[in-house]
Amino acid sequence: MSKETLTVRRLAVHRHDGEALVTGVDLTLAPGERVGLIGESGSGKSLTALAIMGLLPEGLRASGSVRLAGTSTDLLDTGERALADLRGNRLSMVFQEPMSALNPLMRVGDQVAEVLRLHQTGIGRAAAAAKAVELLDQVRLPDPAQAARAYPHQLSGGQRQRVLIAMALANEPAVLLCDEPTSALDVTVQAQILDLIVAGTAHRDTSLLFITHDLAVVATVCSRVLVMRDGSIVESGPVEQVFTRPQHPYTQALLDAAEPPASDAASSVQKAGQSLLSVENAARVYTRPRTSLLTPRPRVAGLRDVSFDVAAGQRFGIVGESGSGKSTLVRLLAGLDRPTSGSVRFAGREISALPERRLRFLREDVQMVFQDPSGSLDPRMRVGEIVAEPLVALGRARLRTERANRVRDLLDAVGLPADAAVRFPHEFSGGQRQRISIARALAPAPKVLIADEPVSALDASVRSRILELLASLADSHELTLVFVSHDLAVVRQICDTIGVLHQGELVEIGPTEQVYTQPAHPYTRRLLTAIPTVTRALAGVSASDLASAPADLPEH
Amino acid sequence: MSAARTRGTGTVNLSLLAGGALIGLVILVAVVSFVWTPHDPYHVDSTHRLLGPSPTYWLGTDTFGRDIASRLMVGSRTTLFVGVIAVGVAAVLGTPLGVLTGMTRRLAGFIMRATDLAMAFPALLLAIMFGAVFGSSTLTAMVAIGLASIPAFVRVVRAGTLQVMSTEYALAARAAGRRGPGIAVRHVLPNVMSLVIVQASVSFAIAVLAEAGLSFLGFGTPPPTPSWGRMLQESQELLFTHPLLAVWPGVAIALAVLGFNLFGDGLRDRYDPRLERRR
Repeated sequence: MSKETLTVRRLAVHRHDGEALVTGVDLTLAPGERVGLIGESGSGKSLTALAIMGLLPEGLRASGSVRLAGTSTDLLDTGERALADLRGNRLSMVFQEPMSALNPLMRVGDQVAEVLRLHQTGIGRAAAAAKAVELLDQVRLPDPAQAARAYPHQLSGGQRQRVLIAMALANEPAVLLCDEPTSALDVTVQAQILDLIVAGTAHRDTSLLFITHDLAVVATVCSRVLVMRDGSIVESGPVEQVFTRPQHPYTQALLDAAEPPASDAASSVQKAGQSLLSVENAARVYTRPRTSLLTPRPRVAGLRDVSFDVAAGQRFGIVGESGSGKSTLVRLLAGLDRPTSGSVRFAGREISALPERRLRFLREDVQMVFQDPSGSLDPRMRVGEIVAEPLVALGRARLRTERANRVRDLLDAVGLPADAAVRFPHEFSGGQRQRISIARALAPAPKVLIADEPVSALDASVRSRILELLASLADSHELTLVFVSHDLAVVRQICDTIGVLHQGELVEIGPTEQVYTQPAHPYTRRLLTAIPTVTRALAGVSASDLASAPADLPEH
Repeated sequence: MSAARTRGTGTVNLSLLAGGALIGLVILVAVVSFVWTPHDPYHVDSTHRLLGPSPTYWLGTDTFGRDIASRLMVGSRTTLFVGVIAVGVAAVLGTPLGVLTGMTRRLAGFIMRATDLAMAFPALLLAIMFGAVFGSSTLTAMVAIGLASIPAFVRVVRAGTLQVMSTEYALAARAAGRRGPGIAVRHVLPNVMSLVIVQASVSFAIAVLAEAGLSFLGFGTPPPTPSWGRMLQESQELLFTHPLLAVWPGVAIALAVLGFNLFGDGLRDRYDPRLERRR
C-alpha cells in the first residue's frame, strides 16, 4: 500500500439485471488532497460516492476494489457492521439537501454529539455536547451554544449545511465525500460553504472528493479533477491542465457551456420601443398564520416599493437570491397575484385591480415559462393538449385540425418532433420538457415572455441550448423577454438590462455590461465576487477570496 | 429495464382482471337470480332445517329450511344496490364539494366545518333516523350511509385539490388564460380521480358492512328479502353449532369487497400515464 488514503480500482456498479451504471472508475486520494468529480445528471457520479461509502440502494451491486488507508480489507468486501464503524468516523459524507439529511425532531447539537458518541467510546455525554458546540463554532455558526439547541427548521439552508459539515468533520475523517453540497444554496452562501469545506479539510489533512456538475466550483476548490460521463471517467488530471487543455471533446463541451460568451444581446442594446410593462411602487406583503391569539398576524414583506419599466423588444433580466422576491415579482407581472400597494401596468392598462375574467388581454399577450420542467406540465395530459391549452382557454383555433397544425408548428419551432404531441410529459427529458413549456407559452403568439428560472433545473450543456432557443425565439417572434434567475452568468448571456433584487428591494438596475463591470450597490458587488468562474479560479482566486465579500450585509 | 416493464404492466392487468372478474361474477349471479335460482329463496320448509351442503341444497339450508345458495344469489342484488347507491351518493356529492373547498378560500371554511359536523355524527344513527322518518328500506338506509360517507370524499378530494393547486401546472393553466372551472375540470379532476377511486372502493366495503348492521337492527333491508349482511347476522347465534351458515355470506362479502378494491387499484394504475409506460 502506498501513502494514498483512498484507492479505488476498477470500480463498477451494476443493476440486478446486469446493466452497468458505472464502469472502470480508478481514483486515488492523497492525504489533504482535494479532487473534483464532475458530471451531469445521470453520469454516475453520485453512485460512485455511494459505492465507496457502501450505501448503494437496494438492487445495485458494486465490484472492483476500494481501499482505505489503515484498514486491512477491501471496503467492498467489508460487512455492514464494520462499514458502519467507518462511516462518519474515517469516511464521511455531506449531501446536497441539508434539510432531508438532518433529523427534524432532534436538536442539531444533539445530532453532532451523536456522531461523536457513536465512534468515540470514551467520550461522556457532557463532553460530547461541549465538543459539539466547539465544532459548530468551527463551522462559523453565529452563537454556537444557541445554535446547538436549535432544530433544523429554525436554521437557514446555509446554516444547516454548516451543521452537516460539522457532523462530517467531527471525528477527523481520513476522507470526506461531498455530493453537490452547495447546489441548493445561493451563490453568496455557496462561497462561504466552499471556504469552510476547504479550510476544514486542510486543517485536518482530510482528503476531499468533491462531486458536482459545476466546473467553476471544482476549479476553485480542487487541485485534481475527474470528468465522468455515462458511468465512466473520460478525462482526469490536474485542474489547470484539464481546464486549459482538455483532451476529451466532452470536457471541452462542458467548459464551453460553463463559460458562456458574453451576450450579443448586450451589444445590440435596445431597439427600445415604448414601455410595455411598467411597475410603480409595487409592494406585496404576505400575512402569516397567527402564532398567538394575542398578537396580530405576522406580516412579511415579499416585495417593497419596486419600480421599473420594460420596453417593447427589451430583454430584461431580474437577478436575486432565494427570498429576494423574484417569484413574487414574476407573479405580479403575469397577473397571477396582486400587489398590496402600487401599480402594475401592461401596455398602459392597470392590471393589478382587475378580476380574472377581465385579464384576457393580458393572458393573450403575456405568457410564462416556469422553473420546474416536470412540475409545470400536467402529468395526465398529452403534450399536444398541453401546448394547445392556451388556445383552448382563450377560444382561439376552435377547429381540431387547426389546433393540431398550430401545435405541430410550435413543436417544430422549439425543436421537438411532431409525434411528441401524442406522448405524455414523463416520457421526455428535463430539457425537452422545458421546450414543451416554451411551446405552450408561444401558442397564443404573445408579446411578452416571462421566464422564471427556466434553466436552473437543467444540466449545463442542456442549459445553453435552451438559452439559445429562447434567444432565437425572442428574435424571430419579436418577443419582449423578462428573464428571472439567481444565476448571474445566465442572465448576462441573454439580457440587455438587469435589475438586482435583494430582500424585496430593487437595489440596482441598468444595462447588463454596466452592472457587471461597474456595480453600484454593495450587494451587487458581493454577488459578483461570490460567483466562482473557471477563469478566475485558474488565475488563483480561492474559495476564501469568494467568501471575502463586503461585510456590510448580513447572511440571511 | 425490460424486466421492470413486463412486471409493471403484469400487475396492473392482474388486479384489474381479478377485480373485474369478481365484480363480474357478482353481477352475473345477480342477473341470473332474476330468472333462475336452484330453489325458491323464500320457501320455508321446517323439515329441511339446517342441512349441510348436498347435491340438492348446494350450500345447505338455514334455520327456516330455506336454500342458502338461492338466498345468496338473490342477496347479491342487495349488495350491488347498496354499493352503487351509497358510493354513488357520496362520490357525486363529495367530489365536487372537495374540489370547491380546495379551490375557493371563501367557501372552504364553512364547508369544512359542516363536514366536521357531519363526521361527528354516527353514520348508523343517521341511517336509523332516516329509517324512522322515511320508513325502513334498503334505499333509505343506503342514501343515509351515502350521505354519511360524503365527508370522507370531501376531505380526500380537498387534500388532492390543494396539492394540485400548489403545482406549477395549475399556475401555468392560469397563465394560459384558464379560469377556475376550466382548471377544475381539465387539471384537478383528472389528477384527483385516483384518490376518488380508492376512496370509492373503501366506501363500498363500509357500505356493505353498514347494510349488514342496519339490517340486523331492523332498519335496513326488511325481511324476508335476503341480504348477505343479515344472513351473516342471523347466523351469529348458531356460530358454534353450524359455522357454515356464517362462512357462506362471509365469503361472499369478502370476495365482493376484494373485487371492488382490486378493481379500484387496477383502474387507478391503468389511468396513471406515469405508470402506464414507465421507463
